[in-house]
Amino acid sequence: MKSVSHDALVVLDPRARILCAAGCCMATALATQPVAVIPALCFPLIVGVIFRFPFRRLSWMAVRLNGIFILMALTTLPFVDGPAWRSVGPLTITSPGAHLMGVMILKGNALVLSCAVFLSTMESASLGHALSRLRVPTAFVQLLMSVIRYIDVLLEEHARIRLAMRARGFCPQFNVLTLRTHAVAVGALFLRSLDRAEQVADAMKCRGHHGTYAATRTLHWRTADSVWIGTALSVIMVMFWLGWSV
Amino acid sequence: MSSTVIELNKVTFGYHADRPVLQELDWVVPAGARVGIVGANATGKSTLLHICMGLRRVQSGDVVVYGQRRVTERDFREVRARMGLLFQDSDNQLFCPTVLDDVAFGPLHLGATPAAAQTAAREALKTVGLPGYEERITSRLSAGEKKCVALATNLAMQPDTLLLDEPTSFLDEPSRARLLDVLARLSVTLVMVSHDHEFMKALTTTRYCLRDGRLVTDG
Amino acid sequence: MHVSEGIIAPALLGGSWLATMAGLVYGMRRTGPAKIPRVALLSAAFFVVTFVRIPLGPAHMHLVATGLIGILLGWSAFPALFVALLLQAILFQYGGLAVLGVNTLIMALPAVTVHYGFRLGVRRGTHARVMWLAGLAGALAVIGNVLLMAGFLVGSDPAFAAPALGVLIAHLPLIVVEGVVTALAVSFLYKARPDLLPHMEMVS
Ligand SMILES: Nc1ncnc2c1ncn2[C@@H]1O[C@H](COP(=O)(O)OP(=O)(O)OP(=O)(O)O)[C@@H](O)[C@H]1O
Ligand SMILES: [Mg+2]
Repeated sequence: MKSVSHDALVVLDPRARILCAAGCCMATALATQPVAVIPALCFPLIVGVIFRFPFRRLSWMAVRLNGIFILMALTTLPFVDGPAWRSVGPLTITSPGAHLMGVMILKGNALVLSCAVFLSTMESASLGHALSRLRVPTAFVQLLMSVIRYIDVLLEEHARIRLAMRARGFCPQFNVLTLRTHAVAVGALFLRSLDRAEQVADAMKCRGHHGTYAATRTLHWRTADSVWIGTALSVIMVMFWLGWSV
Repeated sequence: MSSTVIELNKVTFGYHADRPVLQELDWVVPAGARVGIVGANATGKSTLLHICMGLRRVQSGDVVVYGQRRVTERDFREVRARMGLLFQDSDNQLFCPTVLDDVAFGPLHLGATPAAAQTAAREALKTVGLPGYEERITSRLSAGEKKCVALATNLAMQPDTLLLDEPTSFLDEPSRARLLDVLARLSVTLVMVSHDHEFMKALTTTRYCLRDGRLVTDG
Repeated sequence: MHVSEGIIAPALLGGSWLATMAGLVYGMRRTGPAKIPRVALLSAAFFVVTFVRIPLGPAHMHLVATGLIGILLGWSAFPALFVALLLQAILFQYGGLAVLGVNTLIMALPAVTVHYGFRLGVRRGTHARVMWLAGLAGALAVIGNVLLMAGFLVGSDPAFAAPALGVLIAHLPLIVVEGVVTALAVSFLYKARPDLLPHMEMVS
């Protein structure tokens, strides 16, 4: 996993960040009018600017996402019936088509943006702590924390397996032999994961775990957290108002 | 309290029926002893320690720990609360994303309050010479640091017996010296598997060699 | 194989989240505390394997491994896939939070289904039979994934029929590749540790 570059958002309680992200995403997902999405697009942008979010890391994501949307638009627009809205060259864009695409593009970008700004720079471990303080069942939190812990280990293991294969003259092409080699790498990775899982279960037993998990952390909720939650709520309210009134 | 910590009588164990790893092995570890075990690779040293913790069930023979014959999972719970095992691979032992979560996990599951568990964790980290490591991400530690944190997870549970599986692998000279110092000052029953002869000589008084599925006294 | 944010209709998003929650609760209940490490490690392995690129002429494709996860985990595939997708959404903005329910269903429903199919078929399994079944399970899981994805697209808006068809066609090679990779990977596991596969205890 990429190592996290800290932004100024660490001053917020992780619970506040999760609630902001969840609230914004839920409200955005429910919106049916393009204007209603605009506040959801602006809010994470403003928060990101205030807290110096490294927007540059989102550029690749933005290209990919909007590339998909362009493909969707090209394959969809000719088939939507309705009154004409504009015509671009030989293509006539109907107004239901334009509405559909407008909502899709705005919503897609807003959703990804709020998830990225509020959550992507958070240390993954804090995500687990916050969820357990938000009364998510501890078994699930332990599962999440273990996945976070072992992704790095398995990435390394996978890199080692691939290196060993390359050292023995494997070079990826598209043929049956390559496929075989990939399959062996996948099999080896899963085998090691399963082996490791047994030993991790042993390690848990050695530390007095027999079925229930205890939450470890206490977190500190501050006024600033309430302020940001309040702001997020107001944004959500504005969105609903816009959605209803238009 | 009984005077022997571990007593194995004619213990036979193998991962496959046709390939036993331990064969009719007898072993007694008196309380307060400092025991070292050497042996070639794949002779079953790690397996032996796992059997003492109840992580593997023997095919025949008796496993007596803290004066009682232990058979079921429930029998071994009491053992694990008092006996610590340092795994050969620290990555398997440290299963939480941050160091503090990991070290506090043991005390917490033995019934300590979160605050008490954190205090115990900080103490243990200080003992192994890693104060201030609480918020570090486990997977980004070096192999030597992982080993020390793994030892801290054991110490935080205040065991009266420690089983150490290759404690000095990956340790540099200063860490090794500190570990030696920490272990020498602990008043626990100590069982150690190691290929590091000097380290072993400094810490243990009785030494065994595991060969052909049995323990033989080693010079 | 993810659906991006913004495409799926609100009603479907909500419904999928509810169904995913139900699957998660049931999956966690079926998992039991002793199996959490196994689910966690396989979830992490899924996360890593979906990074693997298979070159395909000038382009490349990514494995999905849902068949393999399904065979090994059954209902526990729900929590395993959910956690991996959640982390991919947060760390790399693949998929997203709102479509997480949809993406989990797309991945997990075929995984659970092929698990039961595999278990039924493998009762009296020889090595060759296990391999064939695994290959079938891998291919069928991808077919299920793709069909669900297309279904969600068309269900959101009938106008998305053309992109849905595009998705179906674009994933045709993956069906074959997944089938082959799953067959060989399961054969690898069968040779190394048959006890790790479901219902293999009685065979070996
Ligand atoms: N989980 C397992 N399943 C099957 N076989 C195993 C398992 N763990 C260990 N073995 C086998 O049991 C034998 C003893 O292994 P063990 O790890 O106890 O050796 P060791 O003496 O600790 O070796 P080393 O010095 O390399 O650590 C080996 O042949 C090993 O392959
Ligand atoms: Mg060993």
